[in-house]
Amino acid sequence: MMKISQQRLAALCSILQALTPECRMMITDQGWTTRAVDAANVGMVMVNLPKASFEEYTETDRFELGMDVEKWKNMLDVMKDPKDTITIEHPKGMSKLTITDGKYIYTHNPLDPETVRKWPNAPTLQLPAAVVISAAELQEVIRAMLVIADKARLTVSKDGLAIDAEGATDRLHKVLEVQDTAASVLPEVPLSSLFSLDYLKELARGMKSAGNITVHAGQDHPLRFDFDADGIEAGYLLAPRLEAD
Amino acid sequence: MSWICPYCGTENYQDDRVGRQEPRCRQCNEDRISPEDLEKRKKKETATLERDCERINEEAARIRESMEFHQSIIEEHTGPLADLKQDLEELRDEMRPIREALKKGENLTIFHEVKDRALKAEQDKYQTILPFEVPA
Repeated sequence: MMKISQQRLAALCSILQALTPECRMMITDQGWTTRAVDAANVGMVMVNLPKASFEEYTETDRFELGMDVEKWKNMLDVMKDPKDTITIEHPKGMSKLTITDGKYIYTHNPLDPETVRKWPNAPTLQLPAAVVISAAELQEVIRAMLVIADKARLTVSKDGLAIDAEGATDRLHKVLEVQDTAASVLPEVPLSSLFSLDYLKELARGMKSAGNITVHAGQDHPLRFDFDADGIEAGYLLAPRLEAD
Repeated sequence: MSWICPYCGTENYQDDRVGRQEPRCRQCNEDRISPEDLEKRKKKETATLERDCERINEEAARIRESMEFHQSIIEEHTGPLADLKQDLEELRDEMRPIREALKKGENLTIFHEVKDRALKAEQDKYQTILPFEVPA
């Protein structure tokens, strides 16, 4: 049996739904883990929900759950009180799950994991720069950039993280405040890459329940976001764009 | 000439006035007053108190009337208010599935956006993909 707050489970769904409508969730006696990429292989989400983030966790089985993120989100919109506890039970030998908040009891048939894309291989990327910024500020800045453009250049330098967007006739430049200088690794030589604001907008929305996020970057390299959102250890990887000719 | 104090009954021997001031009783210190004058004073004060009581009673009656009037207005509106509250509850019940359907629609939109974005990225020659293999 696994008991978790509605708020935390909803946050998990929000983090996943930024990139994918479904995933293979590995459930063990240590908690829940998943990795998934979006259909275009541009973005990847990694989530670890440890046992300690549950209110009660007595699950001893190891099994893979085909998670239909949309359906879970819809169920949580019915069991909508963030203070409620959601109880998830997986009877031994059964494929179905029972999901309840005490008022509603769903007997849920998860997706067949074989029909869901396998986990991507663990990435090995050298991202020399790291900067800690506010998730809320990032979301706000991306919204500002989207007014004029559909892509933005992220540059990490000793001044911090700067975002630049240039549309047909307009430009916007914004430097985000470094939230934790000690945990940041700011390079002497600026490192920058170009990214789709469409993707950045969704990732920023998925990270909205995090306080601070650590952005790992390189020159024309993917971007990695690491964050902790209400007890959920999560990360995103985003592939860069090439500069148009 | 001595006099008997009508308040306390003490016999006083001093009866000369000092100027216009009546002598005072040596026991209770009240001014000398004749029993008849005292009676008159009592009647006058009694009449004043009775008038005050009457006025207060009239005021209380007016307040009671006002309370009854306002009570009747409250009662007149309590019934319709209860009906309105019930109507509100019924509307809320009607709205609940609509709200849930809207939320479901919103989620559907988000997931369609995810698919559309992936489709757009696949067709975008400037968008790179993540540099590792994803098993089929």
